[in-house]
Amino acid sequence: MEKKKILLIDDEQDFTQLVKMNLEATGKYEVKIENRGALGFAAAKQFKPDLILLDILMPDMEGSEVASKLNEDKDTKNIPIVILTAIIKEDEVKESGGFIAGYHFLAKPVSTDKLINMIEQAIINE
Amino acid sequence: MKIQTKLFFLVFLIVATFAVSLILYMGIEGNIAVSLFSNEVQDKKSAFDKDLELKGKAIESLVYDYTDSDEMVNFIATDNKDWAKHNIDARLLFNFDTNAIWIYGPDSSLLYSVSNLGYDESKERPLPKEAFDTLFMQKGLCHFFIDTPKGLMEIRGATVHPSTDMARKTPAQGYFFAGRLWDKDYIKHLSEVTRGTVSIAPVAQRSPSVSIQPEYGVIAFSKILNGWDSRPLRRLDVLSEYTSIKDFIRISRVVFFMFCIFAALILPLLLISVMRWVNMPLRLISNTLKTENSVYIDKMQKDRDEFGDIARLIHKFFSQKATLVREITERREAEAELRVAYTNLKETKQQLIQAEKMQAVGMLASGVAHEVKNPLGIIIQGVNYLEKVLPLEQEGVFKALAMIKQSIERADNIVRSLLDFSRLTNLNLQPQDINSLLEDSLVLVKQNLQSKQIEVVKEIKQDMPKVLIDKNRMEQVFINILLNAIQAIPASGKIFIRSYDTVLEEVKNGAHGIGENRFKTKERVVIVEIEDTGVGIPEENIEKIFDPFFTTKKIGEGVGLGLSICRNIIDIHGGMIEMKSHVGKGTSVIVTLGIVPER
Repeated sequence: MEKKKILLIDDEQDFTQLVKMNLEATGKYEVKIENRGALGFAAAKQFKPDLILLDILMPDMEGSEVASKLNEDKDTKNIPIVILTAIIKEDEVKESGGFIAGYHFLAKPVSTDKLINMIEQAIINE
Repeated sequence: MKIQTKLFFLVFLIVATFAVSLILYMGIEGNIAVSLFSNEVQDKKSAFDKDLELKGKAIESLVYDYTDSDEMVNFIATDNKDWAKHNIDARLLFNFDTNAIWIYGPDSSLLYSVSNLGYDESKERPLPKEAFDTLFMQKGLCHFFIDTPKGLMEIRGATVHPSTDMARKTPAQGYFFAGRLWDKDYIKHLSEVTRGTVSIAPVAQRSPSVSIQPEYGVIAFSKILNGWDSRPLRRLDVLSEYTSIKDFIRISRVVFFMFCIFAALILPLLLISVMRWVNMPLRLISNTLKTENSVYIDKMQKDRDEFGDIARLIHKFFSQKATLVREITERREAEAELRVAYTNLKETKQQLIQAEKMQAVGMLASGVAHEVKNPLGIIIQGVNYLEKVLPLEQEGVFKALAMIKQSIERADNIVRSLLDFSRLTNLNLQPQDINSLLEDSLVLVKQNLQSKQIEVVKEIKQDMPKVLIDKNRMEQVFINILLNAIQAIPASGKIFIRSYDTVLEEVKNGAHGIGENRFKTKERVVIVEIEDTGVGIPEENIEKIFDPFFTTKKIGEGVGLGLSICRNIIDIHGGMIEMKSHVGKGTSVIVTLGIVPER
């Protein structure tokens, strides 16, 4: 089976490291990490992932800015984005069915199971 | 005593003085008149006497001369009727203004008589015999009156003596009488001479002097005309006009009259002046001051006199007072407003402080939440990885991992609460039926209810007015309260859920500081009571129950944010939450919310 390419844009290094480890342990995914938000867009263009996991609160660039950049570019605008953030609560995610304002949302802290569920859901929806 | 009364007394005094003066005047005038009168009477009397005397002088001298005469003596002795006829004749009568002459001898026999009266004098003996004795007892002359057929006659008589005996000491040689008739002419003559009205009246008749008043200017007096026996024969009444008295009386009448007119004019004038210039202004001023209404003195203000000054002054004072009163009222109102504003300010300040505190805490909470979430995320991912690579069949491994995962969840819950606490804006207010919300909340805690033997008793009023709330947040509140209730019940018990709408009779206090007097009396509200039969809360803790991080739970059972979050949610909704509790009996949480106003 072809592995799905996941681009993870998040400034928290330990987090991204562990997520990569967990996702790749399933054997289904190939994960690329980008800890610098400003470079997220370029990484997307270059890596051409099947899904982008995007953190909102990053020191050098807001996740929303990255998202809009991704939207504008024809190469990247069709890539599903899952937003990971500590700002919202899981209840709110549940309420809205994990989908707010056109984006999939996941509330941190997130377990690997939930992560995988969302990834599958997002990719399928595409 | 009031000025009015004083003035009236004064006027009355003046009037009385006037009256008394008039009376005195009349009295004095009367007295003057009387004394003038009596003086005049005296004068007149003496004048009259003199006149009479003068009038009678002729006869007197006749009698005197002819009785002091040798010829007469001779005649009487000789009874020489010729001599008598020749000498004592009508001419003598005429000369001496006499009407009759009688000559008697010493034996009082009539020797000769002559008269011009027209009756037979020879037969007439005017005097009885005994008269002679009495007549000439004292002296040789006599003067009396007798009644004759022709009328009253004045008689003068004398004893006859020789010429040498002028003193009439020798015995009488005879008697000589001459008489004058006081007839109408004579009386008239007398009247002219005395300038009065003379009349003869019988003695018994009432004397005119008694009935004539001095004010007629008539003086009346009488003279008694005695007969030969010295008894009153007739009365001679004299009425004499005394024009001076008449004038005096007339003048004094005029004066009196003028006095009266003067009084009649002046006194009312005085009275009216006093009334108008003193009394009325005083009364107007008095009324003005009593009623504090300057309408009475409006006209007076234009006067230029002292009252005008007073009126203007009063007006000024009134307007000053009005200004003062207005100022005071304004100041009081301002003070009241200030007080209200101050109270509002205090409350607002408290609310602000609380809000600031909340905000600070909120910011802290959100900061902490956020910072904690990230490590938590890492931990979870780490655990997830370890789950994959560690031998889970080993009990220790499994347990350890399980415990870690549990703790992560607890930590996550805490972080969630913190976030809840920090994020209490952005309400989505909709009109909701509180009962359906309660039902939903009950459903969500069903499992917890079932974990103990808890009976839920609903005392719910249907068809209540809707309340304007954020459904999710309010659900959070009720869930929280229900969870607390469930927790408080040891093993079995009851939870009462009551809801009703009512009109507030008294204003209920909110919990500590915020929410006091949030509702007004007579405001319609919806009240939810959740009462449990749990262990209850001691009184000293109830005060702090809504404070953040206050908890009586043991370490690890909860961080104590629930109720403070509930209070804040209620607070943002503009409602009130309070708690009542008795240790051993249970706890009751009461939520009050305002209703959606009727359109």
